[in-house]
Amino acid sequence: MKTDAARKPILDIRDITTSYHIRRSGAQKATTLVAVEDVTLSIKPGETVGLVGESGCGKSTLGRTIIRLLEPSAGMVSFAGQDITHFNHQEMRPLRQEMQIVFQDPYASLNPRFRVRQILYEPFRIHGISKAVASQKIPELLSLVQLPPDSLRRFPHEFSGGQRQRIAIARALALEPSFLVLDEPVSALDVSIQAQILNLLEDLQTELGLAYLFIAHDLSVVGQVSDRVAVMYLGRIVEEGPRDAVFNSPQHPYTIALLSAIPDISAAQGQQTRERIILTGDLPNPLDPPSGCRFRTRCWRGDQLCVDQEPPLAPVSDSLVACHYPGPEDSGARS
Amino acid sequence: MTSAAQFSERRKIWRRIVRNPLHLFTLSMVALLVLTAVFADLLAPYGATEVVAYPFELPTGQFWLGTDSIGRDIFSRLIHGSRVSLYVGFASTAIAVVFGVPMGVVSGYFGKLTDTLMMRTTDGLLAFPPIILAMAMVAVLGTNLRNTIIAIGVVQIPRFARLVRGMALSLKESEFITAGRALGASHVYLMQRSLLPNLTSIILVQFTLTFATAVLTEAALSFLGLGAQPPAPSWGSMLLVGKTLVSTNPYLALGAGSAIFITVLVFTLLGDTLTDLLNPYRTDR
Amino acid sequence: MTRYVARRLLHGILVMWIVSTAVFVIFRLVPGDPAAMTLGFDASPEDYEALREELGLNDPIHVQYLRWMGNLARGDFGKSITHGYAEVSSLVFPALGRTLELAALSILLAVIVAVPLGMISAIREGTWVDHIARVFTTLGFSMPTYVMGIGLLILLAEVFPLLPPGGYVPFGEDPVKHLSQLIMPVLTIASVTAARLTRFMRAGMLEVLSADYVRTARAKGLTERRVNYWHAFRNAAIPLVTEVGVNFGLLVGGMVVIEQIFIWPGLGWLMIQSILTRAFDVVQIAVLVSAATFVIVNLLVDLTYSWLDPRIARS
Repeated sequence: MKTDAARKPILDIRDITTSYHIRRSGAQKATTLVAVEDVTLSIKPGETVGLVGESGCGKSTLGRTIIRLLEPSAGMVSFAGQDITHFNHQEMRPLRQEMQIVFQDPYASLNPRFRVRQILYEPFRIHGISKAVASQKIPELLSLVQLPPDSLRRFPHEFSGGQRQRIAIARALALEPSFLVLDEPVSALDVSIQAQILNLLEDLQTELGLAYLFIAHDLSVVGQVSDRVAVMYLGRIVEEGPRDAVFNSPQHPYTIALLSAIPDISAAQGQQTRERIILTGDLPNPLDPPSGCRFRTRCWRGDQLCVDQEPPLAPVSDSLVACHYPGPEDSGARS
Repeated sequence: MTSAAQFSERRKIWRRIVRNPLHLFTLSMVALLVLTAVFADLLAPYGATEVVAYPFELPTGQFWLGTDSIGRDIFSRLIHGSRVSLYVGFASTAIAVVFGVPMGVVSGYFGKLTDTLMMRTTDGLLAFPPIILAMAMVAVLGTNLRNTIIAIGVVQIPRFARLVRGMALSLKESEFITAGRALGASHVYLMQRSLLPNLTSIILVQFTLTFATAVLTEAALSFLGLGAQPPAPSWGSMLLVGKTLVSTNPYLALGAGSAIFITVLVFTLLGDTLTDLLNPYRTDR
Repeated sequence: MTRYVARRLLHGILVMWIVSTAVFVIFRLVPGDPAAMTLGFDASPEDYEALREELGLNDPIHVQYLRWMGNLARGDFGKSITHGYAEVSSLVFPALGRTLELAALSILLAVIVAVPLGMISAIREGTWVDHIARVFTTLGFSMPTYVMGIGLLILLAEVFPLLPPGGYVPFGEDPVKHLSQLIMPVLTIASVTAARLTRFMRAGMLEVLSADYVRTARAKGLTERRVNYWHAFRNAAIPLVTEVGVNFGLLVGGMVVIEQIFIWPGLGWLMIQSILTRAFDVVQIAVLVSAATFVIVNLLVDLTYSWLDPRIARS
């Protein structure tokens, strides 16, 4: 990873904010839901950045903003050195070959009326690549994701969840992208299948030099594949750093709580077992987030400072942490 | 997956037909009606406007249903009439599809202002009782078969648009549409290649039901003197003659009345059959 | 609730505006202007020009449109040139009354038949009663009203001459004759409508009968009879209100052919007569009024529905 540090990032986002306008029936005015706020992140070629958080924390929105399925309301997205923040559909088109997405639900992301051959032909067709080239590449894609050649004439509903996810990955790889957003690619799958898909993704990364943004709500899955990890809470990144730093010496109470929920990883590695921390209270209403630090309503370290001031994302040992009282749980960081 | 998956879609549908007597009956009747209409000239013993005997002949071996008020063979006219009915049914439903489906897809796909405008317009058009709107249009355009087709078709446009719009609205949120956007597909591509294939079965079912309504409306308009004009062998016009002469020759109305009834029944049943056959998620026992 | 009513009213007005605009478009923007249509092909150019001027057809189209909407808003439906300058409203509204009489009686009869039939068919699902009811509804669904009407006409006026073959005498003039003239058209429309309502009632009952709270009611020890007739009926009947309303609205327009068969001078009959005599000033108002009736009936139905089931207004 040290060698990677010299390379220029393929993806660079600065202070991204993405919001939705929601009109509730009966309400007179549309309310604004800020799903992602002030997020800064960069991803280098060949690198995997894991993005974790509870559902509803804005991680999928961030993923979709990065590949410009959504337009951010503030901030900047740059891809391969090009500012694409406000690119329109036409301007994005050539870049679509470079960045792709794999969705969580492989039952919903494949057109049920198309055979696999048609599904895999779509990327070529959309980008005006000749049928001759496509029909040469489609079988290659299939073997890349380790599906039998006779899959081509079958419909999505004839496959299992894991096989469908392989099809979705094959489609994402068709145009030879350099960057993939993996939006919870394994959370809809059985645990045994999850490992197969994760291995496949790792093999593909090595083989094709892909960069991944790996989105998940499950920290253990992220831990298996990521070089760096970013933890999101209510639209903001609360901790970000190298995988080992985040996993071995988490600084933000939220990260600590998430890690404590993973069964036995540390125990198996012969380290001291962490005490399990159970977060009390629900995720606050994102339409009306708490003042100051957003995590304070569920935090055991919080005091008046956390109510009054929002903590900035600042360097703490190897990571960036947004907390007034960072530090491992029993280090007594609180003065 | 299992061996059931190895069956091609076509064979699956075929098995469903063979196993259900009602499907078999419906499809054979549809085939019979269509073939009658296509080969009317070969099947009918006499021409549609050919005077072959004295008026009001009773049914005989030669004239199966007797002759009408000017001595034409009623049976032959019924056969030729199927062509008029099915032609009007098909052509007017085609108009409804060609305009209604794109309207619905665009409205559902884009939503927002486009959708609001289109849906309010259809609200207005749907407030007209269908036959009244058709009558008004025919009255203004002039009474002939072409205008009948246009009027019936136009009346059905908002109905198609509504149905398709509802489906498009729920489908456009699907991840496979988002996946298409991520691939860089244009709006037109997504509507045409991603949405539309998922709408075909519901459009097909609606087509048959609209077809039945169109046949019914054509006969009604012709019965009112606003559709096909004499001497064209429309079932509706034949019914009108029958009604006019009901006190002297009540049986005249029966043939045309039954023909309309059977055709409408068969195409309504075809709607049910298609709904059943085209359901891709149905599991066969 | 008040807000719901206000919103529905506003929507109704919006629809009526679209409807009147559509009528305007149909009758103004098509080949052959109203003057030519009224006079026919053999009119002299002088008469034609005079009529164009009189109808205001020489004004720009937006002036004509504003005049049309303005007149409608004031309730002024104009005078009919072809009917000796009679007020169009004096032709259309009595006809509407006669149509409403027919439609109301038919719907009433249909409901009286359909509600018990649909209920029995659902309660005794799968028995011969159910099968007969379902054959009846399937046939009724595909039976065109006019075929049914002519069938009745042949049966009850020709084969067994029990009833007059049609016509209209005002109730005040000869009540018995008036009622005897009503029987066949009402029977025709009621039987076809009853088929639809029976099917609707049966489906609604079946759905409710399998719903959880009925099972709960059963568990609470209510007798079978009370479970069926009370809970299920109440919940199946509320959506039926909508269905009845929709059918009523459609009937007002859809009875053209029935009125023609039985020579009943209602709105549809007036439309046909006016079309055949080229009285387009009457036709356009008749079209408008039939659509308006449909809109108003639907509005009343929605309001009734929300009154019966307040959840609708809240959502």
